[in-house]
Amino acid sequence: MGQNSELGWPMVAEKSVFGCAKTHHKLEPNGFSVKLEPASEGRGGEVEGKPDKPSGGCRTKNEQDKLRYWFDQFLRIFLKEICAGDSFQRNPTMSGNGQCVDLYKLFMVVREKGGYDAVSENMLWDSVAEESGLGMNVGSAVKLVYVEYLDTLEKLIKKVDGSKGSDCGLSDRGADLDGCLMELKAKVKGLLLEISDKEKREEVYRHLDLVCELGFSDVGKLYKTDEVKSMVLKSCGAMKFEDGSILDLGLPESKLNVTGVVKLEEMPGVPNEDKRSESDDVMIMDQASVNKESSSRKRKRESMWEILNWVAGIAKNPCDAEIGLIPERSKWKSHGNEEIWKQVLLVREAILLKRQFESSAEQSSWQSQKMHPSMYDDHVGATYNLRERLKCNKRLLSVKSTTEASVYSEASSGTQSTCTKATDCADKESPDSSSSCSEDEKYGPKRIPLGSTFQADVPEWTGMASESDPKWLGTQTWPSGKVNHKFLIERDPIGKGRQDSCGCQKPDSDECVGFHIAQKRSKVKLELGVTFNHWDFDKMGEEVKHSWTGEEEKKFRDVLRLNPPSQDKYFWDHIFWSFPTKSRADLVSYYFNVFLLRRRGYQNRNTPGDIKSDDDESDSVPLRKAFGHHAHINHPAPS
Amino acid sequence: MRSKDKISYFYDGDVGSVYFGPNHPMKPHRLCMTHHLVLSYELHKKMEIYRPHKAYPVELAQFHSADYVEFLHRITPDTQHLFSNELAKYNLAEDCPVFENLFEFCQIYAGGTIDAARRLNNQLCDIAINWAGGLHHAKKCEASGFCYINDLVLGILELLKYHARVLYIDIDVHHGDGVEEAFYCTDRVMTVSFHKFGDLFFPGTGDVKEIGEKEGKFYAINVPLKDGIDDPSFTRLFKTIITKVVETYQPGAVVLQCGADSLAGDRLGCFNLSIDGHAECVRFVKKFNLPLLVTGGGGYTKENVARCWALETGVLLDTDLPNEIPENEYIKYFAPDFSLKIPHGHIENLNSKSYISTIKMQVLENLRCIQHAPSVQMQEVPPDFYIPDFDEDEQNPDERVDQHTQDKDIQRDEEYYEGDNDNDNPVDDV
Repeated sequence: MGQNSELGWPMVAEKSVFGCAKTHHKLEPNGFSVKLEPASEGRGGEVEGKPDKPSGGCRTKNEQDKLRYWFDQFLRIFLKEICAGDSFQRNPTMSGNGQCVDLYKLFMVVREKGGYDAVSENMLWDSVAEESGLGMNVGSAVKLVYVEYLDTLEKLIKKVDGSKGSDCGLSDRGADLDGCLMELKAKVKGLLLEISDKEKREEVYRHLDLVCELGFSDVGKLYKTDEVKSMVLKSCGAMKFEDGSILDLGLPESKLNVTGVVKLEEMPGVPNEDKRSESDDVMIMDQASVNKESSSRKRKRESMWEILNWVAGIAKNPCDAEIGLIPERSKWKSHGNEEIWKQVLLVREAILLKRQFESSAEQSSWQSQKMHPSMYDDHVGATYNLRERLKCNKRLLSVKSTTEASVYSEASSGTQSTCTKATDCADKESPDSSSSCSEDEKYGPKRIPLGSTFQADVPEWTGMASESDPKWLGTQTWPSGKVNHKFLIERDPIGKGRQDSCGCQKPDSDECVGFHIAQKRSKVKLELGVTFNHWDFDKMGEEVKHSWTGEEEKKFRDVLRLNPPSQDKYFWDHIFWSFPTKSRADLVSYYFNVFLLRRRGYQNRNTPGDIKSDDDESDSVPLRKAFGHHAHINHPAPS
Repeated sequence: MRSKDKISYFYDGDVGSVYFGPNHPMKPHRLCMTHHLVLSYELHKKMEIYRPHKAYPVELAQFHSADYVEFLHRITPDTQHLFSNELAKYNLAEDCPVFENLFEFCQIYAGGTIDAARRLNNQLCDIAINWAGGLHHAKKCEASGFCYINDLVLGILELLKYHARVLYIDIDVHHGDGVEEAFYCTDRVMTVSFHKFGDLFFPGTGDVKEIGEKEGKFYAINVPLKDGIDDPSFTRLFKTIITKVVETYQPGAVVLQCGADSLAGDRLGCFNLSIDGHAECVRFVKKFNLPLLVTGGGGYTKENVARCWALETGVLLDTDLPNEIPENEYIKYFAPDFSLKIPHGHIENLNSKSYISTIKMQVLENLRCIQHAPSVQMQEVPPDFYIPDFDEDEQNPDERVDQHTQDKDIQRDEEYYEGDNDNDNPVDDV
């Protein structure tokens, strides 16, 4: 009973910051450190006072709220750290009606129904939406929200479930979820740990997180009854290698109201090797081992040491051959779940793979992959390829549009002239449109479909102007109040064209053109004042190159040279892989603002007869082909 | 010399870095080039420039279905593989890929057109320009032809709050099917589209026989054309039809979609229009002195798009632009001549005189049906417009301005140039 709270993690109460150094570093300045609500204090007594709830299904509102709060916190940090998303809003809303989505509830409902896949397969999204209190017929909207915020989490939990080989049924709501989340968190932390190992090796961070542990023990409290036995037992160790030798280790020996850090020194039998660890890194390791019932402490400790050794080794050298005696990934399944290295390895492998994934030029995805595919989908990984998926989609699409087109033409034949007839009437001289119509109906003549799903709702004119919101009229950026009109006075006549002659030594040379552009630019800058930046003029033109090093520019050129569009290569793919640190927007901006301009300048001087302003406009790549159109369509889509 | 009209011009620098993906002909970077060209000709000194608000999903759902808007809002390149069914349902592939910042891009261009319409409604300007808008193919529940959100429909809906009838004119080389479809059954919007039709040219609609249905019958006009139409025949046809349309329909406001893919040498287009021919249509529509919302649209040869829209900005400001393009960041794109004029197209003009006159007769015949059965609404709002002669004599600047606008004009004349406008109260002070 009450013993469960004993499983609570050691807390660094005054500095409860989640995660490793990195998180700490990043979050605390924003006041992001997560504090639990006061209710979590004074644990034993308060909780004991409450009637025990037999199952998660009928928790009191208070408990639900707590869970929800905790879930939100976890999710926020999870999304931020793992998915590198900064988009987590406290209350995600559906854009259709602006309704708030209770992610916790949504997550539980989907989980109850068997998870994302099951819900999708059985077309249950509408009922999920209803059960989550989001209204009718918003299934796809809810699905979107789910994918954006919760899908990654679910996938990870499933993974944990799998590696545990546990018998936790999906319907076994609360407790099971907690267990999963805990294991998950262990992994998450492992990930963070490695990141910090790598990136922040020299830094020493004093404050350990443990906020989530607070959350967990809090939740644990809520299920302090018998059914909690299905909960994963927590053996938690917080290790802190600080200045080489201090190891803080919190283990369940701690009493009911553990609120402090249990120092390593208080623990019996800590091997010296670990004490002597010279790592400067802060390491946090939560081992959520999979034992059911109450595990023997000894065993836990043993597993702790294994884990400690593993992690220490990995921290020293992630690629050490000695640690590499792990079987191939494919063979992992044959190893039992009691193998502790397995989980650590999962984490390690994910990290290493992720790095390779980002840097390897053989990877074929140009997507900025925020998450390693293996984290949510095992079979993708190295061959993960967006284009393949796109092709699938295209196939689906073409099937769909063909059927649609034929539906339209069928519908039309009843009322008015058929499509072919219409064309012929319109133009007797037209080339044989009836035969081409059958070839591909997509762009063939078709009828305008009628109905509320096609036409706009136009209200009757009442004779009176109705109110239109005067609030949104745009923000005036010019003329701006801050314009310095001293400079306006000395302007050239408006609309004056370029001057034919200039005083440059070599008119029309690169230097001459560059000089005049710079001159004009600084003039515009003076005139516009702050508006110059509002219009992003500081991010336009060849100025963009200043944020690039010469080496990067050379690399960009090389990649393009190696992947000429004439060979039907998608140079953008290679560009995106070659510059993992640059955002796509930066790369695109460089391409249009610097690279193309320069090449254009070169062409202007040297090959004025053969100018191409876009690589992908190259004649040698038929546009239709690149676009997935059939060759016989003369003019693809357009706006 | 200053234009007598007050012009609001919408621009947001963020659209320039939007990228549809490799090998996609739609390049929003053209909007940056256009803006730079406009600035290098110093046209900004004759107008007010606004950064549009980002349209809220609920605003987009004024036309589009809520689930479609929601989907656009949520979908990202990283998650799209989970939604193959929805992607197919909403036609988000091939022409309309899911790319980074897709929804923000839609919000910006749609916000621009909506803001433009609202400024016109509130009589804060006479002409509003949003070159980023004009994505006329988007349908209520799906994307189409590089268009995701149909900003034109949203802008027109906004104008319909103040005007009984709105005229939509489309000179993109492609049929303005999204707008036509949206207003196919209403007589409150007349859509007129000049476009290439036949040979399976996208989107396949736009036959002269498509005239609208129900109350909207005869309120959709299509002028299907063939490859290679040139300036003289296009502008003559345009002027004839538009004159008759305005005379008959008496719109309260006009929306003009200036897709630049009808220019000679466009990557996807097949007309022979010069920039002057294209701009002549804009000049002609401006002369009606009706509240005018001008948007961009197609246009897939970047330099020509920038040239065309810069020149048309000048036209709307009554400013002739010299042919020599001034220095600007993108000057190199305009080589080798660095001039506004573009070479003539070499596509054979397949529009015979008899073909054009057949089309013209059919369109005018349909228009006569309106005259015989005028909608009740016709009488309600007496139009305040002026039908120009074909010759371009100068008009008296005060000819049609009401007291309200006149007051504002006075203020503007004194302050506007000096840049003294109070930025905080654009509504009251400008």
